[in-house]
Amino acid sequence: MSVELTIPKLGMTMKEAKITQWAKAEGEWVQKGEVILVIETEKITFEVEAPADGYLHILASPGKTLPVGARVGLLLEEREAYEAAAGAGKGPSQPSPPVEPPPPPAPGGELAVKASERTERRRVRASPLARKIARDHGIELGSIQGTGPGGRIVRADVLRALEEIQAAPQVPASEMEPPPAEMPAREGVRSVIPLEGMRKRIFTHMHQSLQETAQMTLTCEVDATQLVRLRESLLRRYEKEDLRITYNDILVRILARSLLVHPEINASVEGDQIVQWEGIHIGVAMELEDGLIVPVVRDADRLSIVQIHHRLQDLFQRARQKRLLLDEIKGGTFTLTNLGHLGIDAFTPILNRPESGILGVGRIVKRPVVIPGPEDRVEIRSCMTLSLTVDHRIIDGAPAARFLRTVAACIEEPLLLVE
Amino acid sequence: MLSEQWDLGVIGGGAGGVAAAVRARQLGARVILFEAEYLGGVCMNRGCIPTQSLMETARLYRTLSRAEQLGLKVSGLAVDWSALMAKKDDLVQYLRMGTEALLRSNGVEWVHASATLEGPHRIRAQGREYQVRRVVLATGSRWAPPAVEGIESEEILTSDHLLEMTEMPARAAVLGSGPVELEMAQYLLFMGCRVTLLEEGGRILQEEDREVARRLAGALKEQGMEVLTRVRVMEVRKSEDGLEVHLESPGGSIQRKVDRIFHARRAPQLHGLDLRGLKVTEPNRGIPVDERLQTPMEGVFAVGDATGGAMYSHRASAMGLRAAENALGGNRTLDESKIPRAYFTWPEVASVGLNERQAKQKGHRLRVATIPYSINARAMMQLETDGAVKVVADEQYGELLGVHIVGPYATELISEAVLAMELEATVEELAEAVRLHPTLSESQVEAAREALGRGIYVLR
Repeated sequence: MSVELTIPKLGMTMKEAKITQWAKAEGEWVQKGEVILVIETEKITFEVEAPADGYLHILASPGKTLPVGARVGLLLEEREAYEAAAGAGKGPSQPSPPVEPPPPPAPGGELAVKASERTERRRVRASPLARKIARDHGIELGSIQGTGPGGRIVRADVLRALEEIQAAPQVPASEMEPPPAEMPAREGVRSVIPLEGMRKRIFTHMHQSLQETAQMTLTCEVDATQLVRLRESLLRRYEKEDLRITYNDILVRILARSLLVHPEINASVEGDQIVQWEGIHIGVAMELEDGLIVPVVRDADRLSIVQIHHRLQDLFQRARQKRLLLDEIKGGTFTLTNLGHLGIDAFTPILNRPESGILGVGRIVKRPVVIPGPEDRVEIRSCMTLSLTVDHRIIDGAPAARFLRTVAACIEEPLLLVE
Repeated sequence: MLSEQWDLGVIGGGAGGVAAAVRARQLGARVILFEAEYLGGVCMNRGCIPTQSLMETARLYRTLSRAEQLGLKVSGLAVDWSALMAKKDDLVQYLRMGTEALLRSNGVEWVHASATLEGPHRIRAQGREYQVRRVVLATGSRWAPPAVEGIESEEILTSDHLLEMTEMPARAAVLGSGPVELEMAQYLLFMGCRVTLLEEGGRILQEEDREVARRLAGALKEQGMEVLTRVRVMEVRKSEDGLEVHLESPGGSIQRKVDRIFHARRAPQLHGLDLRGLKVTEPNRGIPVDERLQTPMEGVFAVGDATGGAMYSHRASAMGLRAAENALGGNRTLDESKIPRAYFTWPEVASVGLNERQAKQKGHRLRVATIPYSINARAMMQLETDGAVKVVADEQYGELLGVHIVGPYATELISEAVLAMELEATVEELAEAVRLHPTLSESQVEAAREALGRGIYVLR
């Protein structure tokens, strides 16, 4: 098995990065989590960790500037596979030419090149204290805007970023518990939990959402038999790669496709304007030990189900380690929340502001269903309930219903996805 | 009609006002400054500058009086009062001229007259009205005479008097133990006066770390100063051989006979200002300002002693720079917690940030370490081992919360800690950076290491 190494996207605006150096040699055995590669953007220098164990095969040499997502190397689990891959190329450290753009012309000769290299090689400027706090919380310094002298990242900047991550749009579904009033130690009280940190953010965010918008929830039952079949076939298809495609992966794809057809749902209120967004960025609510977080799959309409799967797995894993970048929890345009695994059918999701739509997904359950025809018959089908909440200030009942029908149609007949 | 002829009007030509005026000029503003007395303010004319000039000599005098211990033979050592006064006066004169030249070369207009603030855009001086877009108030402070039964305030001497005295009283009482009082008391002591320091609180240096205060109090007592705490002056009775000071103490009433009583506490100088418009409720607490140094009156900023708080020249000029920038559209704030404090006593005391008790009150879990100068080679060479460096850091990240130094040149050595805190260095960086040997600075490294539990030169 091989794992591709690509240029990671470290921020919303990042388009390309330069390979500063490989921290491991061609053919070296590396372990997952070890720093394998150092890249730099205009803003930061970033250490890329090995996503898996394997023999390193380098495809792009230091000094090259490559777009985000470009393949720069492979990690091969077997020595034979490595030798095959390395042999297929022109030699170990020989980069494959098509991947790399030619080096930019150097008008001032060698000296000028060196000078520009030096300015590009800017490290993240941060105070020692800021570095320690960031390291402790797994926050990537490159994702933080510095406000110190010369844009230096200082303590206050890291604390703000930390707060924003904790304040990340929180979810919907769960009913809000009234806050425990000030409770002096008294009989009958088992414990008093202070309203702070993530809970406080959820508390405020949810309450504000209900106060500031006109939320309406529509529900409908859909026949998910085909969806179940699609998932089963995907499970079989990727069994060898050990990819367990989830319903959420497929549903994000379905939602992205449906939003493409109904741009009026992919919108927010900004001041006295309704803004319809070009990008389709779908947040997926996930439960954490101490609350909820909604990592966002950006440009979900341009990703395949497998790509969405990889993206979500990565986001979920890092969310659990509290290592998400700010970019990854902000800027969503629609949210998916799934309580099916907890045996829930329908519920009333709360909008994840400033988004205007959120789809709640219930469990898939087998029911007798009447199949209409000349002679109606009853069949056992897999059914699922969808609960769509929209902001009625800008989305009326009929357009909301039409959007929900589009989603339902894709679930009932996932072949529509290839439409 | 001329309206808003100046971009910035500055009232007061002390450290804060001058810094504001020059900074505003650098930013291209037209600036006019009003000063009723001398440029340079209290610090330059009647405070830090002349005081330190005398203190430097007094300190050397005291050192040379112990010449034998240092391996020197000195005879005929005596104070030449007229030369000493000339040294001090020349310095003040020189710096005053320098300040005037500074304003001139920067193109700041200045008016030698007292000014009143008539409104957010109007300043009146010498019967003329000046239209200004923004205002920086840097009116400084004035002596706040104490009310003591049995003696008129005119009979109480201040630091102003002390600066001109060429004959020391035989016995003196100093009321209070702030920076100026301590410096006065020690100057008197070094120049041969018997000094009793009277403090109402439980200890001297109430704003400072307890350990720091204890070390300085110990040194002062060893030098021969009488330090009385928890005492209140009830009455002063005049007798043939001087002033009888009646004190109330926890152990009953006590008396001291002295020739002179000194006092130096100051209050914000707010004369000529619209106190209602500036929302001044308690004159002793000064003009209220927000973190951008903006007063409640739109477009009017205030800096330095006039805003209450710690009355330090370096604080006033730091505020002046920021106020000028903000008055011209900037958004700079001043973190008061990073302004260092100084006591030019001997041993000197200097500190920045929180003391141990304050840090605990703020809920920090602490790493604290104190390294005494009794194990510092340089201090030993100088026979000046009264002192220590204390580092207060937060346990979690080693964040530097405060550094406190007692000892020779503490006021110079503290700068390293000020910079470290400004750059958000942690106790680890303080411990890692290599310092010269043999120096006093090494104790800061060792204190940082000890705060991390790995001091090298500490006996276990």
